[in-house]
Amino acid sequence: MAESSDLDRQIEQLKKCEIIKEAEVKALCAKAREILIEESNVQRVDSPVTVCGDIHGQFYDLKELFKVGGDVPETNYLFMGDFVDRGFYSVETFLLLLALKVRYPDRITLIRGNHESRQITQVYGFYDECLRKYGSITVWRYCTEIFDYLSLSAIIDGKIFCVHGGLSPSIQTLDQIRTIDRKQEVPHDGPMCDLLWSDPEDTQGWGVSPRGAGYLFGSDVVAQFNSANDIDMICRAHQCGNVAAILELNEHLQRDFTIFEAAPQESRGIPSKKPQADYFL
Amino acid sequence: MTDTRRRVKLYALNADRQWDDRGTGHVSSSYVDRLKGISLLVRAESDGSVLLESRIQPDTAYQKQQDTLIVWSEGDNFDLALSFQEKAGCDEIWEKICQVQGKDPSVEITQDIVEESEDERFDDMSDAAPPIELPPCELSRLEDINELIENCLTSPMRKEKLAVALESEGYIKKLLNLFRTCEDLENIEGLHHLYDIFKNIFLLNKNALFEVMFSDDTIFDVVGCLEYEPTLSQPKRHREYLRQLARFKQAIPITNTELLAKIHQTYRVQYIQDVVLPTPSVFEDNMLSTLSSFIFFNKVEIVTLIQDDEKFLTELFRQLTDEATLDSKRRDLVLFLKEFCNFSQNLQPQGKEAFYKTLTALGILPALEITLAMNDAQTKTASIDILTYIVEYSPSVVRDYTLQQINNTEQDQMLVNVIVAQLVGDSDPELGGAVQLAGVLRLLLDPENMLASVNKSEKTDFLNYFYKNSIGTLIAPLLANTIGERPAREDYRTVQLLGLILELFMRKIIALKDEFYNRYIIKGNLFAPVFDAFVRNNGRYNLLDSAILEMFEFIKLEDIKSLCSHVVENFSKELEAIDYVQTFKALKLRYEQHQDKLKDRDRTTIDSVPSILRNSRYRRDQRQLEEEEELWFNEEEEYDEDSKSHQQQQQQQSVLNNNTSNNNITSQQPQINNSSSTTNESPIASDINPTPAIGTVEKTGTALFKKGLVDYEGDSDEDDDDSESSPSPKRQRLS
Repeated sequence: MAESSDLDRQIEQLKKCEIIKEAEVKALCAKAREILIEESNVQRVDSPVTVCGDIHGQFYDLKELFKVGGDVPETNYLFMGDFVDRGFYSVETFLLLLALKVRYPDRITLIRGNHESRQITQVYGFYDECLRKYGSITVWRYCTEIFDYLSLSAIIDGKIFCVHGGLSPSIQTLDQIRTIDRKQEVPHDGPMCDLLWSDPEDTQGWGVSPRGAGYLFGSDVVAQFNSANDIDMICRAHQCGNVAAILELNEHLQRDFTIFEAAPQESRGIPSKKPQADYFL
Repeated sequence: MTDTRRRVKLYALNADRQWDDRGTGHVSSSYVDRLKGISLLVRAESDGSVLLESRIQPDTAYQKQQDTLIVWSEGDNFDLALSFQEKAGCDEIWEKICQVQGKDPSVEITQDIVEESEDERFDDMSDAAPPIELPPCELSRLEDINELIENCLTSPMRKEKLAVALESEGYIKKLLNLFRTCEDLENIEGLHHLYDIFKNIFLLNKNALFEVMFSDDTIFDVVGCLEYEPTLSQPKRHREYLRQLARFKQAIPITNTELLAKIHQTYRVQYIQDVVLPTPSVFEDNMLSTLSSFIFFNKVEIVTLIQDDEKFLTELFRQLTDEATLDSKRRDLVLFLKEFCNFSQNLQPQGKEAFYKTLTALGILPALEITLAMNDAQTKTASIDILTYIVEYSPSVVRDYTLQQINNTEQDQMLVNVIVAQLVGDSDPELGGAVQLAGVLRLLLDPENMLASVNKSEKTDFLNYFYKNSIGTLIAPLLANTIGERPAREDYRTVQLLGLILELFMRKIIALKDEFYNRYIIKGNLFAPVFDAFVRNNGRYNLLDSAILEMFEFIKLEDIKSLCSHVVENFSKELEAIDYVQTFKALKLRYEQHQDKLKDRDRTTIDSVPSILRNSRYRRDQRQLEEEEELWFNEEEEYDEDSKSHQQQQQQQSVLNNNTSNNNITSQQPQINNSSSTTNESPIASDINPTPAIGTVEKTGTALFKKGLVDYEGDSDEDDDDSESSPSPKRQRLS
């Protein structure tokens, strides 16, 4: 009981864009690990569900998203990775999503994006943000450890395949994804890398990706994959641009694509910062 | 990963005079036919689409700001900016622009801005331009002062002039005097102006001004100004925090007053950067670069000053390792060291190398042996952090140290064994420490980072040591837990810990693709607990399921024949049921094909030394191997007498001895293949006593193949070839 009210308090705090204590992050990550370890590489999700793309530390856009799409647990959510980097609130954004995951494991699904990686977060902001907000990189370590547990993809009602990046030339069937040991840093090549890095392209067959990781895949590849696995469509993120949007799927998998206004500038508060009181140097 | 040098953000000024982010991409300059000239091109990194295609016109005024920003107007009223991730990339594009316009790249603006007045043109063109005249520093003029400063921020030239004016007239101190007056009079309006004034002074990015603002007698007033943010109803109490809550602790008293002042200053400036100043908007990201550099160089200086003080560090390490030191004191010493290492991250590569050399010479590793094992949680955590810094910087330092320790240190006091013991013994329910230590071990055991090592024997010697001596402790809990019919403990902590251990040793060993270690796995029947876990998972599609599948998929893909045979022969019952992936069917097929091949060859070849034995001979130092074998043979005899042991015992025994038994590989031998049928669950082929026979063959084999030896300690290419080649081609080559 105490635990769940503790967790509810942390969720409330995170919703105010306030960070939680380092010890609380550690406990939260341990609980999340327990849940995520039981998830499959292709996590089954039931409709109705609302699918969301890259959040990239835009905490106030995430709040806006919940306003438009409904709160957890009333609405069932699937977030397709890239929770961190670029924005100023990666810590609050990721921890809020993770806390919601621990609180309502069946109502929110988190899959991994190419930014959920030790290497990428050291370049694109999450590492620095953790260091700044906590004074040490311990929280970054806890979070990146959790990244390794995140599922790689999801399938909605067995019909819609959801993945952050796209397809891989080494994967023809969903079963093949099962033999990936996902508990690792995102590799530089191979099927796991491709799922998180590839992009569709208006072309046929496979192409070299300008990103230097993953592949470009054409419409014929998609058609082939869909028919081999008896699915209707592939849903992915990875190339958001500056549009805030969600995809709502009802129980008949009817699609409703909603574009919403990003949070206005003035609603973005000052991030909570906590200095270290004791110093030796 | 793509290059970051040319990575840019493109901004455009909107109607509200706000900069809109138009996307991130990579910039290049090339001739564009359509535009008939050299143009700037930005392609989006997300999808490669063109974000910007703009011809460099001969008369456009481009401005370079803050080293990483290029700003210009396109047409009449369309301002664009490129914000570079790296200065080098900005300089390259700047040079290109200057080249097209025939300007010297040292300028900060390529053309005179036409809409500005004649005065300003003159101002921008020449250093001899009239300086900026600041209003007298009086309460009544604060608004004017603020306005003037704000106006100057728009032009780099005027910013320069403003900085000079502020500096030369001692203006900052005058402003701070006004601040004290305002605070006394509770003149809120004045305080709000002062907030804006100082916030803007920070944006001038001038080190000379920072020197004035951050000195001992001014810094608290500067922080005071920044407490009065106009949008807040209550001022923030930053000074109170810095004066009363922040506590400077001295692990070892610092006598150098210059150093002490630097330390306080750095803490306070860091506080200003992290806490006091508003989070910069995306566009201002580069604007406080001078402030970051100020902190950066301060840290470098602090590290250097401490390093140069020989007495200081010597005393620190003496107390750290002194038994008489109180635990609380030791904690402070470790926490100090951790911050010291943290600061050293700012050093240049050469400085870093010297830094870690100094620490190693002073005995940081033996000190960590003590502090890692302390009961105090903070001490332990900080010690793990320090160890992580060292290993991340150079795993070789720790490996070399281990090798030096082999002959003169008690096993359980050796650093690597302390690490293992701490990992296994982590009592934290969330295993924070164990997870981090597993990361450290992973780095230490990773063959990848050993290739470039100067010490060529590092790889063989260290891995030999580890898998001979340390792994026993590491997997002891695993074996203890699987000893009975049912696992003894199945609580979360145990499962997590076992998972860590399994992942650490099993997958790394297999990735070595070294027959020596494969035999070790086979002989110890180390897959048994893995299969046990796999069967108990009962086909649930989760992380464990996938991780185990991947391991066998790897064995299949890499065609590791010994392990393949071992798996098929010993675990076929469990495997048959698994039809949700093709892995095991394929493994079985491989196995059968391989058996057929062996039979065929057996008919044509007299030399029937099991290929696996031979292969392993290539990679071992001969003398060492013989010693080991003797050792093993001796043990084996005792063991056999003891005998008819039960499988669990066998597992433990073999793990503890870590000998190089050749027992189970008899299944590779064609002649006895029929007798050692797949129902044989025991790793010992009980129907034969292979020991003497194999021993002989081995010795002959050594002599025979000596010529064909590939130097294991030789260069990495050869090494790779060797480890990747399967046993069969060798057989052909040598027979």
